[in-house]
Amino acid sequence: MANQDQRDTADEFFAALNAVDKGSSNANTELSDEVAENLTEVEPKKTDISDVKPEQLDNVSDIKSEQSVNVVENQPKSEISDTKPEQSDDVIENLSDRKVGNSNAESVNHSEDDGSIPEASVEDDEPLFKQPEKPKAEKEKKSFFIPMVLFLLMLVLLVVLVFNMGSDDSDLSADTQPVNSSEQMESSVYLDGADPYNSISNGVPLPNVYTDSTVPEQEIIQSQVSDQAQAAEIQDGLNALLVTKLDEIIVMQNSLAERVIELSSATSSLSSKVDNNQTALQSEIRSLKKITQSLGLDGRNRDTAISELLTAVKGFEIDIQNQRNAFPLELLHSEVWSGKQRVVAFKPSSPRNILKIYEGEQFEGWLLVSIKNEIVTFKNIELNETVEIAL
Amino acid sequence: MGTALRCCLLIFSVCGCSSAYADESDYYQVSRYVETKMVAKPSQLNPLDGVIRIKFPITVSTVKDAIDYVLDDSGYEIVHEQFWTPEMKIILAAKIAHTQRDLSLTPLKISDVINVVVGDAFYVVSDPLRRKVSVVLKDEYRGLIDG
Repeated sequence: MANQDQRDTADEFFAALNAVDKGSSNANTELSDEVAENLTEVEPKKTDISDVKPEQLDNVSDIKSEQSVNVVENQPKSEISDTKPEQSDDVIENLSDRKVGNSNAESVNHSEDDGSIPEASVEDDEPLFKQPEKPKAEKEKKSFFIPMVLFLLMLVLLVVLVFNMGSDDSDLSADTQPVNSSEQMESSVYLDGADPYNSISNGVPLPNVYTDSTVPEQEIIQSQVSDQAQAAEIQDGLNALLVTKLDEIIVMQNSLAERVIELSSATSSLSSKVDNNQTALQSEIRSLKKITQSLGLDGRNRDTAISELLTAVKGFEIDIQNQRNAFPLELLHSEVWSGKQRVVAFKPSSPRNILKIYEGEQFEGWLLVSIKNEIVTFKNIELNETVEIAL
Repeated sequence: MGTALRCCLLIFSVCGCSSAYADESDYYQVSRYVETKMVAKPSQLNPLDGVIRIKFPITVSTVKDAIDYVLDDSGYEIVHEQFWTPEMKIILAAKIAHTQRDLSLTPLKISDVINVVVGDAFYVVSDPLRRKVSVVLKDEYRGLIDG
């Protein structure tokens, strides 16, 4: 398709040249004829290209695009506009070069298939486009038509360039997509179900593998296998590391659980102690409250409490005093022992212990003063009190 | 006659002076008109000769208790039990008679009170060296023990 377009453009170009150079010399006609012949010679080669593999077509399209770009680069607009008929000849030579380049590209492709580069054929074609020098009169005659021709040339070149670029893009998209898709679909190298297109996860450089046709498949497979082995080793290492880390985490979790249990038991014991202390403290507070209530805040209750206490103490003292002042003996009888009178008595606390108190003797602060007519007189020494007891 | 009278007066005066001297040594003038003979009392010489008028209290029930009550404050005591004779054991364990409890109306020596308590079948013997008192059955009552 692209070749057909090129051929059409070439025909148009030479038709324009024929229109401009009606009065040109026969050499020009011959040249155009030769060009046409060359083109016709190119055509069967192009038909041969159709038999080439799609990969080679990609290379051809790449070469065409590069040549077209080189044509544009070699002929900027300013130069073209300022060109003279000599320069137009140069343009023609460039165009012929492009044709020849196509043929060279084809030859290159053939040489790639054959394994050799036929540079000599390109050099042999160049003298065909060399034109003989024309006389100045004819050049001046053509000066009127130069701007027009240049303008047309520019238009034609622009159209050709735009068309070529569009065709290249369409060819590239049409040629590359099937190749990539087919190779991607036919590729049997996968990493254990991993996504082969995800170069981040498995580290496989897929674009290089599927686009670089020069790398042999075995090396690719070996590299992929080695990468797979490395990935497996890394995966095993990661798994082992994860297992160890998980074991450490489990041990830490168990220790933390034990600590939590100990902490809970400690908190429970502490709470029980706190409760006991609180109850004891509350009882102390209650007793203190009772004491404060008994004492009173203004002091009156305190005075009454003290007075009551004093009265109690006083009563106790009185009781003690009364008990002390009371006669401690129970008298039985009086008798005479060797001319002395005595009293036989006993203490109520020990009735079997018989006491014999003679006149003038003292017993527990009580002095036996006299025994007369069955009346015994005792005198308390401390109180200076006298007690008379009848027998 | 005159000379004889003078001799008699002299003799009487000498004898009176000597007797007066002798009386001043046996008595101790307690006050202006009271003098005390400086002789130990019989109760002091022999405590068992002390005169007592006693009444046994209710706590005294046996002859031994009565003897202990009587000998109290005298310095004497009954011989140790290991020296008791069988008759002595019998009589000391016997109860005191109710008529013998009140002896306050009859002043008696201590030895007599002991003799009253133990009865006529015994007589009281004492050891002034050890101040021990014991009772001995009379011979005529010995047959009660042997028989």
